[in-house]
Amino acid sequence: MADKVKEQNDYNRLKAKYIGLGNADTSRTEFLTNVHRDTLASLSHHQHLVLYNSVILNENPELYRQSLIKKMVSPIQKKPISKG
Amino acid sequence: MSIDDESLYLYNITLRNPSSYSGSVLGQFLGDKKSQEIVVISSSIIQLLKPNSNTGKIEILSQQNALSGISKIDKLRIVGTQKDLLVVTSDSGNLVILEYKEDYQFIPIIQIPVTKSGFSRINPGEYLLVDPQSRCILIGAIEKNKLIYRLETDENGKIILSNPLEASTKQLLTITMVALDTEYENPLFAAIECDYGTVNNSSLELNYYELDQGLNHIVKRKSKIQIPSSTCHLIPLPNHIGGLLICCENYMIYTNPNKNASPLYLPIPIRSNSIENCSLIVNHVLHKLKKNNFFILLQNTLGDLFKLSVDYNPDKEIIESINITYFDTIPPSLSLNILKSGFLFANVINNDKLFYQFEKLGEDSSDLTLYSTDYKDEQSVLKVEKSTIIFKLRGLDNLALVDILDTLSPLIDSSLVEVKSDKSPDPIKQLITLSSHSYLKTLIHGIPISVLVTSPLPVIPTDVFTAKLFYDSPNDEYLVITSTLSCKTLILSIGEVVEEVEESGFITDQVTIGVHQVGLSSLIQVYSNGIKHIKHIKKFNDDGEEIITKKLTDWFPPAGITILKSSINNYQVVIGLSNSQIHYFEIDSSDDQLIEYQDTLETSSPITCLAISKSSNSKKSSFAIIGCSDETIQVISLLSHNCLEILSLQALSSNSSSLLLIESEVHIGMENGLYVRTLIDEISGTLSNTRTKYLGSKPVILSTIVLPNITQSVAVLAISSKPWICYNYKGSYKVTPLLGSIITRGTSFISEDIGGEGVVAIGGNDLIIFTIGKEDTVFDLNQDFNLSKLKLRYLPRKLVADNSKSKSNIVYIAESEYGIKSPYPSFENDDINVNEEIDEDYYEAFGYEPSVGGWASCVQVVKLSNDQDHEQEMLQSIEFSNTEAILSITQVKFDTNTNSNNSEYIIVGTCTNQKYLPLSYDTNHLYTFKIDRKSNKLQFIHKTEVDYQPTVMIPFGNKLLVAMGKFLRLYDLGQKQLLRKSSTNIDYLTNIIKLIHQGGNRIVIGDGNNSIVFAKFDIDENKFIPFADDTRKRQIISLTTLDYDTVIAGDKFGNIFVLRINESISKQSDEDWNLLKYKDDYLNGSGSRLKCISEIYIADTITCLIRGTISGGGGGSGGGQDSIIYTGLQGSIGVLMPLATKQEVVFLQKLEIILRKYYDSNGYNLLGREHLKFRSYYNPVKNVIDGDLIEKYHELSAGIQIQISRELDRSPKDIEKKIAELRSRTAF
Repeated sequence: MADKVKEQNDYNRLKAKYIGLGNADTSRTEFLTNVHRDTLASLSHHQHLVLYNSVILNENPELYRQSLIKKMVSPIQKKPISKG
Repeated sequence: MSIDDESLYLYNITLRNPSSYSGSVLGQFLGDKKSQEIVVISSSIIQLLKPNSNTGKIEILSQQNALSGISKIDKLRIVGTQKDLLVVTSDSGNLVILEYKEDYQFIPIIQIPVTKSGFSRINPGEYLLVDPQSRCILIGAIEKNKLIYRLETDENGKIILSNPLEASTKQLLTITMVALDTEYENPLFAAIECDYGTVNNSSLELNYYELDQGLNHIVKRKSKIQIPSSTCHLIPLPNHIGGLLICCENYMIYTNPNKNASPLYLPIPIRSNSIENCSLIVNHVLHKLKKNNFFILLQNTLGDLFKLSVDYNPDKEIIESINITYFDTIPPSLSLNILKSGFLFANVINNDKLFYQFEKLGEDSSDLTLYSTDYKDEQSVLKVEKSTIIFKLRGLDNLALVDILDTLSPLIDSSLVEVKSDKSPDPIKQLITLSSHSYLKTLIHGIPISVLVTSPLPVIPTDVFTAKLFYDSPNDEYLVITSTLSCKTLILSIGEVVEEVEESGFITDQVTIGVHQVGLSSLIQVYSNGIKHIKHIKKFNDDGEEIITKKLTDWFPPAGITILKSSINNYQVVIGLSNSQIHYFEIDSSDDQLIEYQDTLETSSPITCLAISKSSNSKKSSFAIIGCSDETIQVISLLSHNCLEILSLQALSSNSSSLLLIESEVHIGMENGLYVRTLIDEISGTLSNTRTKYLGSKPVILSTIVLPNITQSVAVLAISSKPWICYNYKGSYKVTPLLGSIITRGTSFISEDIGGEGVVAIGGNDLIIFTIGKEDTVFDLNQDFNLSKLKLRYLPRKLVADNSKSKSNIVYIAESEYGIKSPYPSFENDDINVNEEIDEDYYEAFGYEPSVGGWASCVQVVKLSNDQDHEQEMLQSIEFSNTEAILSITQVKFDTNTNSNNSEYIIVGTCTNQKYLPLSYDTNHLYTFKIDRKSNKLQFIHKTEVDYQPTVMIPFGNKLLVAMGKFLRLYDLGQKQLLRKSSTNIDYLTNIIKLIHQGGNRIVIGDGNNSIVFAKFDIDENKFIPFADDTRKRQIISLTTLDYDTVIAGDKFGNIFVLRINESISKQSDEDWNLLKYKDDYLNGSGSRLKCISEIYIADTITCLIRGTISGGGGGSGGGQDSIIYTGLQGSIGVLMPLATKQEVVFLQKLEIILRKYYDSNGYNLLGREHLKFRSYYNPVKNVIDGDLIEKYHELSAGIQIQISRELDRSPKDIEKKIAELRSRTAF
């Protein structure tokens, strides 16, 4: 049993460090939320993707980047964000 | 490793770096106390810009490809030094500090691993802040993590970074961060953050992070101030005031974390009363003046600048008032920098970067000013009467534009067009790009010239010379023009006016072969029947005036023999006679007289040209190079011990037409249009290391010229069917065409009247004097392209270059912009005659009026210029209604029996009320326009309603193929509308955005989510049947065909890849179609799959792929090899060149591996990103050799080069030659 506890502790420790971590008990919502948050973060990290979207939307790139981060708050409660 | 025959190897070279700058930092990176430079970054490039405060021009000092995704930059200065260092975060996961070194390079001095490589939401690096006193560096991630590194220096003054201090808060998103100016207090940082763990999770909060220097610990403090959800920008105030301004929609809040004073509120002026016209500050720049004086320029999303100043009472330590005044309006920018010398650099979003000079600081302006004293609390700001804060727009008052830095970002579409001109036999290759918010920019490889004088001559000139009279005079005085046809020589003097010289002492009724200044004060004219030596003697007459008398001496060849060729420098004269004899003369240094060497040399065959070195440093040429008509050149010694002895002989592929000896290089122009450069050994005279370039269809004539601003070396003007200049620049030898003039002979010409160095040339019957480089701009050899631009109305989407045979040089451009209201009337309006004057300049300066969900669209017809004198011409603009968005445009030729003249049509696909995120629209239409060949204008025929968004259209056979969503439909022309002939539904596609017709019945479909599909039109079933698709779900953006079975495509993330169908499948599709047609579907796709044969990652969204060659190449045929040109959204232009032989591939692969190893293992990668990982960002790089890395070979020291060459069993010169040869094969 001690192994189980240790495993759980290890998992919790890693989970605290790497927020996207999951295991068999991860719910669908949590999983999807993480995927969406990662996607949004990736979109806001890559300059050419921010530029690509901000040009079409005719929006300030910095404001667009901030809006992506704001969407990370609750990414799947609204309609899923289209990637382009 | 084995290379199989099927594989395609490509060689990637970047020709123009991306120019969308995500950040700019002003600092003294050169360490020069007086000058300030600007560092700008784009996705993987670091550039150093040096503004010249005297001329007001910006010069690009260095461009470095970091081969890594750059995230943020900031500057840092160690106490007691004068030099700023650059701090960079990137996807390498390292925190890097760079120092600028003399040899135009940033060098890493610290690379500290911080986190895993790549971008992730918890990787610190998205935010990078340096404490204004350079005590610590904070790096933050989007979510949770923040690290602070303390900066210390060791006893040698070297920087040491402490172990990081961590401040991590779960479920906390950071939206923006700023470093406060605290001087001697603890370093303090402020952040707008959002805690998604709390119940009310959409509200923003303001948090402070303080580095407690005593406890070595980060203290997080939450501010009590409630900030609205529109907060997007923070502005720290200078230390003596402290605190920060929080910018949100239409107002600002001032707060100070260290004082208990209540916050101050201040509204931001707005343009007009409309709801859509809010004022949101996104950008600021603080400029400190003397004595604690300062001002801040704020910019809102529309581009309006406001000046913010603070009335501060230092005794009571309270702010009396914060004032905001309308300053000026410039285009919206991402960042602004103010130089101490009174200039403003605006890093404009999506347009050319601008450089302004301050005329005044808006002190005595009558513009609207708002005072924080008028607004007591938040409510008074929120409920402010809108009319009291409206300011009036006006033209620039405080700023004056002084320079423009051309950029191509965002580059949306491009096309390679060959424009024919009457003047030149060679068509000019133009790369036409839709770029930089609303421009058509044309790039031509070459250097422009500015013509100063063009005047017709009384004779038909065949050659031209310039000469000065005295050794020490700086300017050329004589201009000698000779004509072989009329046996005449014309001597002109150059001054304020060009006039004929009466008493030059020259022979004028003979053909002149050479003119040069010799000795101290003599001139030599070599003409066909002799040599004239003219000595100028300065004397003072009785009145004390200086008069010049001339003393003439003659030398004649034997009777019946004429002089054919000559080469003269200040000390030596070599002539070649018609009886193949070479005579050699030296100039007596005491009295300038000619002394003939007693011997002559008789060559084996007639002389075609000869050359001696003409270096200006008083050195005699030790060799003469003689070109003979037996296709050889001979090197002859001119030294006293073995004078006129043949030292070496080189066979050529054709007769030489012109020779130059410059220092230790022999330049050979040949009759077959080749230009050869070869090294001569200074002692033995042997020739080695030959480089060849084809310039044109005519014999190449060479002469030396001097380039402005470049002192290192002289350049060579090489004239074949068109002129070129060849020069050494930053270690590489460039051969670049000269644009805009057809000349047959040219020579260097130095005169103060034309501002220094110029070229005098003859073309046709005219004398042309020009300087190299554009007028009014810095002559910049960094730019390989000559750029010209034409303003368009809205954001361009697609361009169609007229592909008909008539060579009309017409381009059709579809433009469509979201979120604005157009001032122009729609073409469908009946009252089109109501032609109100629309002030285009107003909209260019201030932008169109914003309108939520609005659209403005038009189609414009542009006639391209075919030479430099003509501008591109806007022929027609067709405005669409203000709800319509143009999605696609194409040119098509319908095969209609009713219409006998087989007209061509332009089809435009639109949809109305398109909205994004999520996508929605109302109706979709196809507009048909007929091309009127006489006026080159479009006539509206009819419009057709369709079911889905027509995202892409191509001509297919004699019909129009339209892709909408997952449908492929064929249309034919009808009387009232287009008629649907066929419809195909491909289930597993969602968003078809590219189509190409491969020939026959085969098409290739590029899908926005589902990669590439090959399909065939089945005539029996009257529909398209897909038969092969990709194995990955790529998001295709660009697509072009390489051959019938192969395509190259680019996706949104920056991958370029080549896909090919299996040979047997390809065969089946044409021969046994039924087998393939009824093949079962497999895994949600068609029955067979494509193979990816090459792949590379470019840190840019690839918007267009073109097959062709960009280099001017001499003549249409012999130019560069066909390769793939790609253009990226951020303005990068590059070439993927197919490698020809297996040996080449093996050699380059080895070299690439060695270079990678060298850079990776020694920490020489600028940002610590491994090259292989960078080029394999999403998918492993495959069969593409990165020329950007290979060309770094030039930057290595000689020792390392030798080491590498040993590993490869080659000589360093061989490797260098191979790299240069690869580049010149397709590009420049």
